[in-house]
Amino acid sequence: MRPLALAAPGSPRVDPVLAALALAGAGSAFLVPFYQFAPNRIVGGTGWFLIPASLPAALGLLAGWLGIGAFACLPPSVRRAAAARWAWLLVPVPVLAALAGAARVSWALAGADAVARVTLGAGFWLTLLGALVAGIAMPSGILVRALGLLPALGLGVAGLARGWFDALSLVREARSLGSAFGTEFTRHLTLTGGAVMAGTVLGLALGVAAHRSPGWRLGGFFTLNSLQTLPSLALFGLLILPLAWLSARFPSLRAWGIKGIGPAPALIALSLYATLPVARNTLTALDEMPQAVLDAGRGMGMSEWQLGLGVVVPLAWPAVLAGIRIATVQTVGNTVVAALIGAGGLGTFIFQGLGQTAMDLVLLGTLPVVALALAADQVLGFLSRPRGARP
Amino acid sequence: MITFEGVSRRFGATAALAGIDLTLADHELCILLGPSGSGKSTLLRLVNRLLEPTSGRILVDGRDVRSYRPEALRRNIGYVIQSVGLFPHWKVRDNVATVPRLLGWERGRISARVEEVMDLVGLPARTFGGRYPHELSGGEAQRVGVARALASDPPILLMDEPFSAVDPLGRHRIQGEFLEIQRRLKKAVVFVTHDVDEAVRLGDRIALLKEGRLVQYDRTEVLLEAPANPFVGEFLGQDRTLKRLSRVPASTLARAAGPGAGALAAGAAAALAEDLDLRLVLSHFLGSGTDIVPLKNRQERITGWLHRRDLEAWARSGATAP
Amino acid sequence: MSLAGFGGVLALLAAFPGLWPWPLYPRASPLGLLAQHLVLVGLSSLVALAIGLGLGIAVTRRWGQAFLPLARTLTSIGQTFPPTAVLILMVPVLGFGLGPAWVALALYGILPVFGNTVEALLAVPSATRDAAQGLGFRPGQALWQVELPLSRPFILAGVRTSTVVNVGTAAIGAAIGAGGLGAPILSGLVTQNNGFLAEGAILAGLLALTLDAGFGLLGASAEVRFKRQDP
Repeated sequence: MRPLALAAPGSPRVDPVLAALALAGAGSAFLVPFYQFAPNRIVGGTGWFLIPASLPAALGLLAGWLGIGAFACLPPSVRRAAAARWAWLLVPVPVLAALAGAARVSWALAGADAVARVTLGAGFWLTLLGALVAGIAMPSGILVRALGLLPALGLGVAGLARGWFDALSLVREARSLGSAFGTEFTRHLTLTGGAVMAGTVLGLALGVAAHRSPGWRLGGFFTLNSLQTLPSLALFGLLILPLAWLSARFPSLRAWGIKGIGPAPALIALSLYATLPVARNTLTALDEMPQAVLDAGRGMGMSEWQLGLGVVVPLAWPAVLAGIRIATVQTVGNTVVAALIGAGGLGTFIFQGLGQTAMDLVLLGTLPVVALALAADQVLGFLSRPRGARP
Repeated sequence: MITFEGVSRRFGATAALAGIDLTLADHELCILLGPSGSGKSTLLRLVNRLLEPTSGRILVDGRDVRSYRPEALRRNIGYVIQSVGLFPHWKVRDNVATVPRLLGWERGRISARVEEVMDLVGLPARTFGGRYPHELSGGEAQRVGVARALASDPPILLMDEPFSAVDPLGRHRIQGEFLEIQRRLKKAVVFVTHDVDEAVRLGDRIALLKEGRLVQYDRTEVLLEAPANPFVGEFLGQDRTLKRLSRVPASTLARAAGPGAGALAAGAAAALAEDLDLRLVLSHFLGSGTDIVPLKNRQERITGWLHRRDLEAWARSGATAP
Repeated sequence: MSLAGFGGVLALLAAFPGLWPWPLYPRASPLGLLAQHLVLVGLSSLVALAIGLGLGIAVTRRWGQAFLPLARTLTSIGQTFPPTAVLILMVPVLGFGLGPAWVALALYGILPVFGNTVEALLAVPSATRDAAQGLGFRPGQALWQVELPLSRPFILAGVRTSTVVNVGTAAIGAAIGAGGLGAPILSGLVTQNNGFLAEGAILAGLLALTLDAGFGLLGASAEVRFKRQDP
């Protein structure tokens, strides 16, 4: 997409996004509670600000944000220089500070009081969010990002393993769940993975069929589009009924695990949802296959099979992979709803937590889902980046 | 009347224009000619304030263009660009009516004017008015562009390589039609092109630019006869004499019709149209080996005789066309 | 045609509870549930349209250009977030009920509208914009009379996506106390009452299909392609 023809070239004197973030970030140290402390489950929490809670952490946070703010005020030519990439190392600093503060707070409480609760408050999450935005806005490179993220990840993982964060209610909740967390997490992955695989197979088949036949093109896509429009909860519900009836009629199906509720309707619905992105992208890739390349191949004496495997597949592959990426991200989210029909997965914690008004349980379900979606998107995006000259 | 006084325009470190002093007369078609990067489009866009000069000023009818509000200025200056820029979501007649609408004319006056101006460019409103831009050919689209620029009857017309994107045959035709229109309307036209043949055919005066500086500005014939320096000479081409000939109709040098005048003489079939330009007459002489040719008018009647030696004398003498 | 079909059946089933062959969700009438759901989706979509459109315009103007690359990246990251997660995350912040659901839907709905507005406005041919400026349009006039009409189909496609997705997310909103057509579905799941389940699912499905067909009629086109102008 070409830039606006009427615009003057060059960046603004002060980067407005980074400056605003730096200001907000620095202010958050004073104005927004980072942690909530409640003496027991009955009394509501009082907010703890970073300053009294952990002075070193507060200083670290301020240093990080002010550093970013200073970067924002550098002249545009300096900001664009190659060396400016190293400034990205400032981004994890507020995150590290917030983590350190959490560890400090948790230490202070460890062992002392099994009933008191400390939860991570708005300040903590906003810091993560702000760092995410800053991480996108600042110039960077792969090496710098790896270098920057390692300490934060390391602190998080090491801290969890050594129990530094144990007094936090979130961690306590996770421990009380025990292996259930792992089970549901695996179930979520299985459901998502299975649905994406099934959807890919169906999508490829439909894409090819639609490319060859107008009937399949119209009919197939009309059906898929209509399915996609249906709310996932509704589709799950609608599938339960016939499946319940079927399993009542044919008890042998029960042996396979096909009942009314459970993983079966979920898997079917999730696969159907995953089919459309793959089918659509396959069809577009096939439609836009440059005829000249195929003619050249045939002219050189390639058989249809060789043409297919050697030319069509490599050319179409990036688009198909992009479709799989969309399907995967969507499915991770849709699988959450599957928990409502007894299929398990991370949604289980979410809805249990909602029912009990236990926000930590809700977070334990939601955060991994968001992380999974982002991770899948980044990984598949990395795999499908264009290589070589486009035809 | 458009005057550039000490006009310069920089983009970052590069000077697109440097110290331009130029006065363009009313009712004349002035060509801004030059190689790419010479600053001709930049100079054009300074007139309707699509660009502002880094230094110097531009005067239109004695007033600094900066004293006008930009929109008010532009609504009174016609603007035609190479890629036309018709609004794809409006019919042709609505495109043409754009500026009158912006000026707040009342509806009857607008539709009358749209019809008038579309007839002028050879696209009757009845047939073409209801079409959409994507249904037009390149030549038709550019004609609509010209019509749109003329709709508010502005005294000045700015044209930036308007016919370059039309196919060569269509371009020749539309140039001829535009010459006709200009002969009738006599607008002050500023016309940017890099095509020397187009410049010679259309321009009353030519301002030749090179790397942001004005190299020569004069009537076209003067430039062709007396280029100020080798660059001008080379740019205009080694066939300058032929180009000069192309601007003169045969009738200019015709001698009085002698015996056989008024009658359909035996050689009438070999007669040439009296408004044919001298370059084509020379081509005829070279091909036929003759030295004299009768000239005929539209009614196929002989109106005079053109002698080859007169043509050659004129070419050598460098006399400007009367 | 599909609009009439889906919409007609929806209207009939909602307005005439007697048509249903089984006992219905007692807490509210089908019409009431539908109305709740429509209010939730409709209002949040309107807000999403207003904000998404406004931001999309702002970011494609000369003065807002600095924010464009960041806004685009944030949009694509935001759309990776499952809409359900956005809804659920409202609870710790805003609590339960209609309000938080509404906020979540509006927030998530901004993304497709904003994304499509930006792409469509950027795709307006520069010759068209140059001509508009050269003819004497004020910037606001050029936006209103030229850029926006040319962008309309694609912007509408964004609103369509946003609205249809919101119908689904709103159904889950019932889990955080927002009511709507998700309530009978959830109730049916919990009490193993297939009648309630079917009622909610059928109505919700029909609603989504009706709205989608409606947008199709309004001219929401998923292609940013302007009628070809001969060069």
